[in-house]
Amino acid sequence: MKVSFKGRSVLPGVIRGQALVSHGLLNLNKSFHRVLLKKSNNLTVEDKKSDIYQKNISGKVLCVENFDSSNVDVLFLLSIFERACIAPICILSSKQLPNSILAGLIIAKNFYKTEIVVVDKLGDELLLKIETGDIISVCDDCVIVE
Amino acid sequence: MKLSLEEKQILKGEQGESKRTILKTLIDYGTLLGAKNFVPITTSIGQMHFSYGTKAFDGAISILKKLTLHGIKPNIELIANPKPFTISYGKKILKANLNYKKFFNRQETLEEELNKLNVNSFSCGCFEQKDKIVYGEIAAWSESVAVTYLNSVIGARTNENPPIIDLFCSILKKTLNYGLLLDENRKAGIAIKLEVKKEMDPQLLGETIAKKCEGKIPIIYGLEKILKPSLDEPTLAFLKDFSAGFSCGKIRLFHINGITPEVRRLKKQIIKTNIKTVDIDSQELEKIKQDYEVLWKNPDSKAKICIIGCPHLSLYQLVNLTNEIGWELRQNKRKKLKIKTFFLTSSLTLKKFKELPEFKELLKYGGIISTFCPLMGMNSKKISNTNIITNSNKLRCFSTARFFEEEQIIKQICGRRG
Repeated sequence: MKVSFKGRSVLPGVIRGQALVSHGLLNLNKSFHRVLLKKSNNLTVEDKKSDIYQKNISGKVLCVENFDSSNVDVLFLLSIFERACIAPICILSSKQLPNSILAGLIIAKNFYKTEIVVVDKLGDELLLKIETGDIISVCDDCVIVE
Repeated sequence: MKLSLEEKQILKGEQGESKRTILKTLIDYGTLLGAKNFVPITTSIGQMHFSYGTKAFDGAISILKKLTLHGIKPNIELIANPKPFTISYGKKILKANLNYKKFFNRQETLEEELNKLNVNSFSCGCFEQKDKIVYGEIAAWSESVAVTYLNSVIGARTNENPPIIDLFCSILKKTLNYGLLLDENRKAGIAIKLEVKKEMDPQLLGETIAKKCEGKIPIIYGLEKILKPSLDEPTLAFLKDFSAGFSCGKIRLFHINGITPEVRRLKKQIIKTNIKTVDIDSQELEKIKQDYEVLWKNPDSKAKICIIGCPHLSLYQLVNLTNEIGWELRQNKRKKLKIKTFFLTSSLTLKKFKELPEFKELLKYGGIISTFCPLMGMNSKKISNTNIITNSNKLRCFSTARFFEEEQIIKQICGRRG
């Protein structure tokens, strides 16, 4: 049975892909600082406290409760989206994304022409209904778990 | 968002593609935040929350390069955050070769770009700019302590802008009209009644209040007993560190009864009606401090490094600390500090400090005086495994450093037993 969610469209678009679900707050500094230094072709989570530790987020529909925000998130996001091949294709968040994340995504869209789709404020049910590996379709503010 | 004629022209590309993209970015961002329009920046100083050149930030550096290549730069002077420590300090801190090229491998490139973008100095020392910024002015600042200080102590207005967004605002000399720029969002929504018994640690007090605010702007009663409305140097030093206490939370404005400018001018108009009152006493502060987790590998081991000056020390604080340390060393019959101690300040303050006799005194005691930012590079394994003590609650919040109040820090670095 298909389950659908409606949220706030941060970066609109249509996309279909495989979910990678993180139930905690994702910390970009702890997760990706070292990976970005290595210029690897994968974006593997290096934060040992994260429930998606050692998982590769490249090309995935990244589903999070939210980010453990810090102002430098903008700088990490710009490095991730400068190299489109390592970035996720979509970010879904059950809560409202912090300003630093919004800023990073919007700057990346305008300067790097990234085609990522982002929806936030999807509600707490989101992470209860989506599991890693599920196929997700997103159209602007609407999310469908197939 | 409602745009002016000039903004519509920029959006059509009449001032070039770079400015069009910058404005488009700000409009997209502002729309999500509920901004209705832009307002002009009136301060002559802008901030840039980006001074750490690492390969991990290549994406942002590329954007700076694109802008400078097209001759884009702000019309106002920019102050960037303090730089990370240099190779020699890395060695002093770690007593080992830090692979500086690995961590700060884009520092030179970044600084070249910042120079082209009108960045003239590197400092978090907003307190030095008090003659250049006046009450009611509009800014687009970004560093959390500076933002809180600007809003609360100067009474100017800024939101906490993310890095790069701060630069974009300075380039267009416009900022998004939302949040703390609006009168209705600057009103106090909670009253904090302090029981002031003795001198309180400003950063610890700031954090305690921030945690009790329930996300609302506080009006604080009680501090008028120890602070001066004339905002003299001791008061400003207290308020700078008090602002830093708020940086662990999300509040970027506080009012202090009888002290901060907005309360003194607007009186009861700055307070919402029927607000809740929360009492805070010294026991509450103690409780918050007890809850701080010690992140050292072995909590019983000794401190190797002490860092004082996050945010950067004012001239008054440097002189005061030197005198207190001198007194404590004499009490303990010591000539030198027992623990390697860094005293951090801005280059502007350091220049003034060098002209005073206390500068030589502090060096004589073995103090290391520098201008770097201790927060940068703290996530490197070598540094996070070093036992660092600090009187900075901000540094504690973002690193493995262990917090002690200033009085205890002075006793420790001066080798008092017990």
